[in-house]
Amino acid sequence: MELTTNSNIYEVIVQWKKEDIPRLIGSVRAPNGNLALLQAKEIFTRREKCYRLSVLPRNVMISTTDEDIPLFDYAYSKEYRQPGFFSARNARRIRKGAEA
Amino acid sequence: MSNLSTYIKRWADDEYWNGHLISTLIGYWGPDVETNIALGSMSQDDLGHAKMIYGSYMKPEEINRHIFFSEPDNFVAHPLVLAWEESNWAFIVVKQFLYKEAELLRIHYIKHHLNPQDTKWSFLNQMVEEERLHIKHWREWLSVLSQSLEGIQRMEEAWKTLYPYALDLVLSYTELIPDSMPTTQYEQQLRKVLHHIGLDQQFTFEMTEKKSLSTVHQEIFRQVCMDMQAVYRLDPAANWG
Repeated sequence: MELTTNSNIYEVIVQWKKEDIPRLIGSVRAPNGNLALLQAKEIFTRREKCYRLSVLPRNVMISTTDEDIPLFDYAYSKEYRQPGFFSARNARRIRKGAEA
Repeated sequence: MSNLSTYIKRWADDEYWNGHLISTLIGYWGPDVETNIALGSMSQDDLGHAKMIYGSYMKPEEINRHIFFSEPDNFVAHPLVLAWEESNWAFIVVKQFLYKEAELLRIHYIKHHLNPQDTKWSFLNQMVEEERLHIKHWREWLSVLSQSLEGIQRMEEAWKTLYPYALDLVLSYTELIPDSMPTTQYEQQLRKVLHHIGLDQQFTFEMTEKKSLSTVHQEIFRQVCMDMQAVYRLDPAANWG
């Protein structure tokens, strides 16, 4: 029986405490979502208590591809997106530039 | 209460050997590594249950002596628990499904005898929760295997071998509550689950003659038992802490 060839990969998300942000902690392979959740419980919360555990089929996640990597390349060049860029000094300089 | 005390040793041995046999799968065989790790966690639950049950009537050193020094024949685990076919996942799934459903019913019967105020048995609540989760796991696997013709055929074969033994185990609950009908309750529960999965027409509930498990299964059990005891027997006084 080819059990694993029909398996999907599920991302495992854990929220340790009610006030915590859910975090991705790993992935499991399983034939269906219910088994993925049960296996995730036995693998990732073997020794720890958590508030909520979730699994998400990887194939329903919408992600950027390798072709999209250049889109992120210019992030650092846009200094006006950095916090503090619009300090009083910069604001004066920009205003002067606009008046000239 | 005397019925209960004579029953407890068998119950503890069942839980111990079910956990230990499942744990032997880890690391060398299983559908995939995720299932193996999950089985590791669940087998530890069973071993923990066994420890708590043994602890209800034995001291820790007596538990060690029983587990690591008893001859295989001195264990009184039920043949359903000792039934084993290596590398046959469908067999393991059906066996665990039948055993775990029977186990939950057994806890219900055992609870009938107990004083709810007695803290000695407070672990039974934890046990019920853990067994419920194990049952969910094995029901899911039953459902996954039912999606292929080969899976159904293999499960049917395993069912024919194992179901009479499961009934035999459940019938023993009448020792706890004499006028009860545990096999009827058990069958109803199994039918309900199998109907939900769509397997109720596949498996027969007729009380067929038990196929002999004795020779092959006892040999496997003997070997597993000797392997398990080997390290402890080297130096029983050693402190492994």
